[in-house]
Amino acid sequence: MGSLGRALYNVGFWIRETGQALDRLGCRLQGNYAFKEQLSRHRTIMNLFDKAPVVPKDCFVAPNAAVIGNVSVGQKTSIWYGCVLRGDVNSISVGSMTNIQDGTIVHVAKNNVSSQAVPTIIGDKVTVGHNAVLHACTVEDESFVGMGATLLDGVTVQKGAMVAAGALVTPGTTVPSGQIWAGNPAKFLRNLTADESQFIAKSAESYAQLASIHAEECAKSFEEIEADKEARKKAAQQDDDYDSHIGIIRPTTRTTAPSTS
Amino acid sequence: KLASKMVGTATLVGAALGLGAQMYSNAVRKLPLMRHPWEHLLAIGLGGTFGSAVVKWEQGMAEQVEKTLAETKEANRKRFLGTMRVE
Repeated sequence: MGSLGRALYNVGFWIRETGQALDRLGCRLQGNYAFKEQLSRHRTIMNLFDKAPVVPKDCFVAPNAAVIGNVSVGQKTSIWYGCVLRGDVNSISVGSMTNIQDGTIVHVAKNNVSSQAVPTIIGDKVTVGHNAVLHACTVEDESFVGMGATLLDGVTVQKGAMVAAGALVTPGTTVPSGQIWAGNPAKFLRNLTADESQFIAKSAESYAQLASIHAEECAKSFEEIEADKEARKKAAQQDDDYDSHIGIIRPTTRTTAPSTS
Repeated sequence: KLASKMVGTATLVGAALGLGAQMYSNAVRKLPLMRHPWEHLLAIGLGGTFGSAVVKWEQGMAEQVEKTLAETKEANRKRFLGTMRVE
């Protein structure tokens, strides 16, 4: 966006502010003070001027995650509850079928010790465990970052490598493919077994499936949720004694609501 | 023509002054400069009105002063008539 675009953005901001003020005036005149209700203004996907995140339709982004600024996300990727992907000073790119699990923070650097502006690049089919911190690093395809791991500036996790849970990978480190690094500071622990290598791809796929279920559930409207509740109530298991008196035979207990469509 | 041009310039200067005052007011309160943008419009209007009013008042005042000076001159002429030479 050039300076003209930015100027237009600002003028639009002023006009909208004025519109809101007029609306509030109207509400006051009508004696309706609903506009004073304080609600969270959290936006799952937020732009900073022209830097808007690019998220395809088939991605799952949890409603309370925050995807901000210059972020691009591949197909079938899932960003779970409470994640923060903040692409303000540089870009974040996430590949396809990657999962970034709950509470992970992904950020980029503008100023750091080695004074290099580094974007964060996350490849395809990567699993990033809960509560990891990825800061201006490169995580290549089919690699695995354990829960609570911290990847500092300029780290490269090569294809098929693994960072163990709770590891702190110091700036500029390269984790070679087929190895697992652990500890604080992270050091080479051992090579991955064949099972573990296979698990990484499998984990990505199973998470993609799980994400589609969550996406469907999160996309439900208020009415659909209420209908689900009703259905669940109807399907709830009655006391066996009650059932036998009425003459109902229930083969299995329903734990989830049947489809309402 | 000159007078109307003067009034126009004064209105513009006044409007700029009004906008500046509103922005300054926001700045000293550490708010964003364009907080409540409609107030800036109000300030521009007030400033413009003030500017044109000042110029008009000045012009009126100058006329008044000229008139008063002429009256005084006349009075003085009458006072000195007969005692000394008056042009």
